[in-house]
Amino acid sequence: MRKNDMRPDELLKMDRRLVLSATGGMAAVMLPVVLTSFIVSETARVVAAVLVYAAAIIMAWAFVKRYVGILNAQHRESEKKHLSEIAMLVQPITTHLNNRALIIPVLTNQLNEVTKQTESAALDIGEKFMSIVQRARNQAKKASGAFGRFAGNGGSSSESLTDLSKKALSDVIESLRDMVGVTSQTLKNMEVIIEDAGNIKRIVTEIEYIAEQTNLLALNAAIEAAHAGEQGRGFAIVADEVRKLSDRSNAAADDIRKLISRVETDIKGIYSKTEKSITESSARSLEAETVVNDTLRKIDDVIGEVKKQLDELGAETESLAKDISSIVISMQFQDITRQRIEHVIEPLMSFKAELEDITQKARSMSEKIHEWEGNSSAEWLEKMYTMESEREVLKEVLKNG
Amino acid sequence: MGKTVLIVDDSASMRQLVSFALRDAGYDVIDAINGKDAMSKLNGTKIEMVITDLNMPEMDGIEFIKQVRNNPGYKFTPIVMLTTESQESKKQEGKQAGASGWIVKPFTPEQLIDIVKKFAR
Repeated sequence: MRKNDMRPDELLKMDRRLVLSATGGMAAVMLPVVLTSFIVSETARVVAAVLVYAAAIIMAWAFVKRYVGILNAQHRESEKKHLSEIAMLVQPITTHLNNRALIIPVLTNQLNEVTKQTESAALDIGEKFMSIVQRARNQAKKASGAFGRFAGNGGSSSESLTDLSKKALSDVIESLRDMVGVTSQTLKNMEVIIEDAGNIKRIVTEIEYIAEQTNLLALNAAIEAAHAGEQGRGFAIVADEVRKLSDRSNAAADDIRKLISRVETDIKGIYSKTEKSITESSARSLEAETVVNDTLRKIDDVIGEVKKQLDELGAETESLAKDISSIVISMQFQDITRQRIEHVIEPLMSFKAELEDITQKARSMSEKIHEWEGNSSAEWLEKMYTMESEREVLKEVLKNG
Repeated sequence: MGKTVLIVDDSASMRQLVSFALRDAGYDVIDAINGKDAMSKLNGTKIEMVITDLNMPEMDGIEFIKQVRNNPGYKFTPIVMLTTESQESKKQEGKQAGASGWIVKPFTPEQLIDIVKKFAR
């Protein structure tokens, strides 16, 4: 304990002890001289001086011993005070460190919870993104499949709806063309019939001419038979029969002419109507073909456009998948964050263990100080007490306390 | 049937995203949560390539690589380390254990697919 740290009464006590020590010392030196100065015998004086010095030395030794004891006690008291102060200082630090150490598991648990929640969220986001890609692809696939069934895939063996429609429409146009062709052939056949009717008429004219000439011949034969008289009667009968045949031939030719003329008129009527019909059919067929071809071209255009859009949709879907793949891949930040958090948790846990160790050591030290403090006080008192009754009181107190 | 890649990582999100990228590129994927789980899943399965993390509980990546290399069936199967560790010492440790290469996180899908294409032949 430094002087500055002492209380005034302690200082006063110490100064008194020093003065007493100095006075005692001086008295111890001077006393033998004063006391022996009265002794006459040299020997006796020396003996007396030796005895007095011996007594002085014994007293001084006792005094020094007691003074050193007091100083030691004071030193111990000072140490005790310092240690008490240290213990008092250490106590809140220990409590503080202990409290801080208790916080660390809370912090690590919080970090672990953050990691868990982030991972769960990352997984959820990843799944949702993957689901988006899957659905987009499914839609693109469905659209492509539906389009394929409608428009085909461009192959020759395709049986798409549009190909079947195209074929049906082409068949209709072909049938129209065939029908016009057949009707044209019918017209040509009619023309032959009409021509044949004209030829028949010419033959009938020839028959009529033959009948007329035969009639004239029969008439001349009848005249010649009349000139021959009775010998010509039989010949006249033959000539008359020939004339009758000629008349019948003429009547038959007339009937044929009339019939042929009627047939010719009818055929011409049909021909005219057919010709008109074929002209209209050709025009309609041509018009239908144009319409069908236009329609087919439009269908092809639409198919081409839809196909282009579907291709674009497919490309967009793939681009989307790629972008989402990049997003999902970028979710690896979560794993990096997790590892970094783990790298925070590990030293925190280590720090906690160190804090606990320090706390334990500080507590242990504090306990030892208290223990020592108690022991040293008892020891100090015991050494200070000179009477047995004082020691008895001390023992009693320690025993009960 | 596509080529099969085994992914070993204790992070569910990492397994998910690597699987997603690989499946998207046409690969079949088997995943495992650590080296021990991966060893039980290997067990005779035909694998074209292994992608493994290094820091994992129970059995870490380095030990797993060593055990794979000790299995005659997978002596030459390419093993790529997937890790945030970019230190040369860690790579060397992995290579000495028998790893064929590494991918440092974070990586892009293209980087991942490129390296898988390179190894999973």
